[in-house]
Parts: sequence; structure tokens; C-alpha cells
Amino acid sequence: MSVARIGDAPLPLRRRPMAPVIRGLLWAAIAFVVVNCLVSYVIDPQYGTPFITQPSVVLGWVAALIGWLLGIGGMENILLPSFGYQVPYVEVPGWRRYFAYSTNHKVIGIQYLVSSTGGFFIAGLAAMLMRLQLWEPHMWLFPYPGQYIETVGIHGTIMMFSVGTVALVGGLGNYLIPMMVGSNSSAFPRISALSVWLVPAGILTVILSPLLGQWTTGWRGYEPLGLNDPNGILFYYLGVFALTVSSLMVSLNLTATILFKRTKGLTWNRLPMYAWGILTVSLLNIIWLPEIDMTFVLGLLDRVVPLPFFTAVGSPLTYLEMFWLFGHPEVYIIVVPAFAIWMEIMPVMSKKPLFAREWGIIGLIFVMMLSGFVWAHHMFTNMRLTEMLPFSFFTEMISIPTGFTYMVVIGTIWRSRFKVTVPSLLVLMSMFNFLIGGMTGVFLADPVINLQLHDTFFVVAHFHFTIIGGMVFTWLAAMYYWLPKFSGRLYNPKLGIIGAIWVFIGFDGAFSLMFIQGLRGMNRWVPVYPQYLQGMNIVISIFAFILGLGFLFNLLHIVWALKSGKKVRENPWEAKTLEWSTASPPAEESFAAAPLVTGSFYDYDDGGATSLPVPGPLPM
Amino acid sequence: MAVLDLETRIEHKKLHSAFYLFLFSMSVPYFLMINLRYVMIGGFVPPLLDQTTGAVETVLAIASALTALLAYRRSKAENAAGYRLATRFTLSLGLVATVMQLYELWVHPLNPMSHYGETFLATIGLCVVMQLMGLLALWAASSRVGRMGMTDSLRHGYELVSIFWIFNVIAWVVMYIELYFL
Repeated sequence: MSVARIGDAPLPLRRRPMAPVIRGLLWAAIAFVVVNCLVSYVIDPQYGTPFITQPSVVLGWVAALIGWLLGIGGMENILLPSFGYQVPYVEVPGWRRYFAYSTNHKVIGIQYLVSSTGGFFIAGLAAMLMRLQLWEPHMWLFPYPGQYIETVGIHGTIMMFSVGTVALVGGLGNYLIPMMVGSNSSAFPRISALSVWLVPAGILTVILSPLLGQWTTGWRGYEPLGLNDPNGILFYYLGVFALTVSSLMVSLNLTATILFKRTKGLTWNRLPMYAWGILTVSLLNIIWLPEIDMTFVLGLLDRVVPLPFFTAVGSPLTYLEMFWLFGHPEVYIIVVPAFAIWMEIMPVMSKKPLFAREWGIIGLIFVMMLSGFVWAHHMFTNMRLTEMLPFSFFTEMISIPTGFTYMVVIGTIWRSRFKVTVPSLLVLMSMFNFLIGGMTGVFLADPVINLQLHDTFFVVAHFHFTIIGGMVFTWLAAMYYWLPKFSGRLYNPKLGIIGAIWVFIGFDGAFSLMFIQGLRGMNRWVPVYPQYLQGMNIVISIFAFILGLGFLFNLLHIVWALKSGKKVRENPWEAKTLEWSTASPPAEESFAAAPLVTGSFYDYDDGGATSLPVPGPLPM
Repeated sequence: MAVLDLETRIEHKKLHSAFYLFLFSMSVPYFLMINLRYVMIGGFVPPLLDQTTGAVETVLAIASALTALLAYRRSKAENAAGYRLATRFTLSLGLVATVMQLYELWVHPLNPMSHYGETFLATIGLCVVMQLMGLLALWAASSRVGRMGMTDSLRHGYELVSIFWIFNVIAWVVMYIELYFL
């Protein structure tokens, strides 16, 4: 156990009396009970009847969250040092460090990835329940429709806010970006050390939402629709608030890391594509996450105080507008890092310089900028025709900078010595899927088609092709690609190919049929449907179960490979970005001395003979 | 005052620049609330908003910003005692201003049937929450400088606390003009 401290003299070793996670849970529980009792027995005029009220549960949750963050390590590492108390920083050793406060960006990255994976499978389980219900055209699995819709909401909320927004930014971003820019740490390690623990808190809050009653708004938390339901929506707002604050903190940290922690010689022209992707998506987060957080606070006040922001007395449509103002950039928050990963992996697998690199960067930046101009296409059913035109136009236009990414990747593969590996295969699958999602998006941007297909399964298929097809497949590709970096081991190629084909068949089978099902009249948000739709729903459900098992297979394979995969040399792909110049797995300090960048990371004119562009006296 | 080498000064400037990103992000909710107010109630100024009370709060807030600026300069000069004194003044003035804002929220009849959306309440509430965070930071900085003194590595944290408070005051002044007059 190593010990460092603020101040000069070393302190004797001191063991934590309790595991941080246990202590965090305990403090959270105590804080909740105390504050809830205070509000419901002392402040509330009903004096404890009922024991849990809307204000008491909201304030109790805030107290619990603070208790959780302090208990997990925020007390010794953030709060007390802020007030000038000198507290020893005890680095927890071994596997336990992944269940404690840590300022090591690699540990934080893995903590984020594990939380995201947990969220993915919980939300996936909800999806399986939904598909099971849709096996029959009548209610049979869920006792009443509200439960089904609540399950849809939990699925979407956890997928969007703890997986889509988190895995490639908080997870891979925290792990890789400092190394990619040649730094041993992120700019604000304490911020990420704390923010990562907001993710399990947020997921748990959303999962526990049924305890307060059902909510039927889906992942958007629509008001005033939510006002018709019991109180489950409170935990939706609070849970998502925790998740989005986490993403905001990570984005601030990673932006500062990319801007200010770059090593010598790492000019903007040489910045890795993934760092460009994280930079653009972080700027989106920095702008839009505070916006949606404020919206959720208003939604909460709408119900708890209550204030009439979004009721019939106030302005019912305003919540929708405020939500989608964030909601569509959210899609690009999810897929822009995926685009960047395509451009990271493919030149390595092609052993050819990245084609039209500048256009790839311009594409990422313009997608970021245009993403704020397309949001109202989610509300065509609530708009005048004249208002639809600009949003329809920009929605179609955003496909152009998106197309730049395809141009860069295809140009890179073109006439190269392209190698089909599990990561490159998954990237190709991801590109295919996103192409389907993107092209159907152009259809949906047309108001005439949009008004016909609104809230049908066609839309469900469209956004799943963009988000699962675009982001989750890329996440898998990235996990296989950087697996040797994480562990010094390689996956089993045969199992990897089987896993990739398995999820591709499951995914494309399920969601391509949903396009047809949507055109045939299958609506979203309904657990019952006309008899004539049952046959295809059964087929979709079978493909969905295949997909779920496929993801489980890939998870088990990756976990197995991390622990028992074949050992490989340091840089098996002969990639040139800086993270590959460190040991695999990286040491506590990734770089013994600051690296010096002297050339492009994507220059394969040498045929890949030299593995790194970093000459000099440094251990590259 | 210690003379810093160029590299350290660059590092400090980077730290400050990163903090301005945070402030930019924190300004988004204010922009949202200004727009929300115009969407929901146009230029209506609720009669319950007392301009005089608001003016007193604003004067106190501006005074606290001036003392925060003084603290910032003391920090730059590595004057621990001066920083602590100025920060305590900031803390006191800011606390009174915030308590007055809380009082405004407390006495207001929360009307779920108001056609005006009561957006001003949420906006004042936003200012209060941000100021409470700022007060906590000021308290922490004041305690920290008392316990740990003013060193070159520590002083940037102190400076950022002062900047954060000044940001809060600027936000409040804009909101005061917007909510109480326009």
C-alpha cells in the first residue's frame, strides 16, 4: 500500500475502517433517512403522514447523493483538503482500487466502462422484457400497460444517459485521452475521480423509480404528460441529473486535458482523431448538458412545489422544445466519438495514411455545430408547416459532414493492405448500420414522411440503427482494438469473429424488420397491437433475444480475454498513436518522461515499418 | 512575491482558461432562464418583485464582488492575511445578499395557477443555488488559507474561488436588471 500526502512528512499507514463502496452506501442511507425524516416530520404540516412525500424524497435523495460521494472518498480527498485539513491519500491496492476513489485516469476509465456495461445489460434486460411482452398481441407479461411503458422508459433512459453518453467519453475517453496526448494524468483528476461515482448512483436511482410509482413518459420525461402519473418521474429527473452532471464533469476535464495537457510537438495538425472526437463531443456536452439539467430541475419544480411551468396554465410545449434542444445534440454526443474511433482504427488496419484527414476533422466540427439546428424535427407533429422547413433542411444537410467520415474511412481502405480483424470488421458493421440509420433519418427529416411515420416502429428502428448500430458496435470494436493495451493480451480471433457476426445478425434481423413493422402500422409505446402484426413481432423478438445473447457472449469473451487471452507484444497492431508507446497494460505512470511528437500518427508511407513517430531519449 | 518561471506561469494560465470553460458552461442555465421567461411571460414584471429589496441585494452583491476582486489581487501578491480578510468580507456580504434572496423566495406565495409561470422564482432560485456553492467555496478557501497559508501552488485555487464569486455576482446583476426591470 503506497501513501502520499499533502504536506511534507509522510504519515504512517492507516487503513480505511470500511470499504469505500460500503461506507458510501451506508452514509447515503443514513443521509436519506435523516433528511427525509426532517422534512416529513418537522417541516411538512402533515407531520410524517405519509412518511415519504415529494419534497422529502427529493431532498433526501440530494442528501443521499452527497453522503454517497463523501463516503466513497470525497470526504478525505476533496472536502477536507478544500478546507485545509491535511489528510493522507491512501491509494487502495489491487482490484480494490476499482471500488474506491482514485485519481488514476486509467482506473477511472475502467470504472466508467464497468458502470456503463452494467447499465447496458440492465437496460438490455428491460428490452428483453419488452420483446417478451410483444410476443403476444395482448397484455400477458406485464399486469397493466403503464408497467410496460415504464420498462420502455427505464430501458431508454439508462441506455442513453449511462451508456450512450458515457461509455466512449467517460470510459474510453478517461482511459485513453491522457495517454493519447502524452500526459500522465488528466487536467483535473479529482473531478473525474468523483464524477465516475455519479454513474452507479444515477443508474440505481432510475432503476428504483418504480418504488415511487410508474412513469409513462419514456426517456424524454415529457411534461405535462409526467404530471398524470404517480411519482416515479421524480427519480427519473434525479437519476438523469446525476448521470448528466457526471458527463459534464468528464467533458470539462477531457476538454482541458486536450487543450492544455498536450505533450511537446503534439500540434493541432497532429492531434489524434479520437482526441478530436472527444473535444467536439465535450464542447457539445459543455453547452447542452447544463441546459437539460436546468430543464429537469424545472420539471421537478413543476411537480414538487408545484410551479406551473409546463402545465396548461403555463406553456405545455416548452418542455418538449427544451428537451429536444438537448435531445438531438445528444444523438451526436453519442455517435461523434464513434466516428472518431472509425478513423482511429481503420488506418491502422489498412496500414495506409488516413485519407483526407482534415476533412474528417471538419466533418466532426460541422456535425457538432449543425446538431444544434435540427432538434425540432422531433416535433413536426406540433409545428406549422412553415416552421418545419429550416429544421428539415438542416437535418438533411447534417448528412454531408457525416458523409465526410465515410469518405475518410473508405478513402483510407481504398487500395490498401486492409486487414480484416475483429475490430475492423465491427467498424465496417458499424458503418453499414449507421448508414441505414442515417439514410432513414433523411427520410424522416422530410415532414410529409415524418408525419406519417411519427411514433411508429420505423422511428424505433431508425434511431436504434444510429445508436446501437453506430455507437455500440463501435464500442465493441474499440474494446477489441484496445484490449491488448488494457491487458497485454489478445482476444481469440475465431470467437471474436463469431461474436461480431452473432450480434450483427441479431441486430440487423431485429431492427430491419422493425422498419417494415412500422410501415405496416406498429406503433411505439403500446404493449397491445392488432393480430395481423403478431407474426413479424415474434420474429423480431427472436432476433432480439439472439442479439441479447450475442452481447452477453461478447462480454464473456472480452472478460475472458482480459484475464486469460493469449499474451501479445506491446503494440500488436503497430499503431502509432501515443498510447501504444506505453507498456501494455500501462504502468502507474504511463510515460517515464514526457514524449516528443515529431510527425503524424497516421503516416504509413513507411509501410508500417517504424512503429512510432516519437524518436529521442524517451521510452516510447 | 515570488517570480515564477515561464513554464509555471503558462501552466497557471492554462488552469485559469480551463476554469473559464466551466464558467461558460455554468452560464448556460442563465441564458435558458432568460429565454424561458420571454417564451412564457414576455416582458411581464411580477408585482411581487420588489425592486428596492432587489436593489439592496444587488448593492451587497456588487460590494462582495469588489472585495472578491481585492482578494484576487491579494492572492496574486501572495498575501495570505490580506486574502483571508478580503474573502471574509466577501463571505459576509455575499451571505447577507443570498439570505435576502432566500427570503424573497420564502415569502412568495407559490401559486400553481399563476399565468405568468413564476419563472422569476426559478431564476432567483438558480442564483441562490449558485451563490450557495460560491459561499461554500469562499468558506473553504478562507479556512484553507488560514491552515495552509499561501503558497505558489495553492494560490490559484484561491484565485479561482474569487473569480467564481465574481461570476455569480455578474450573473445576479444581469438577472436583476432582466427580471425586475425589463
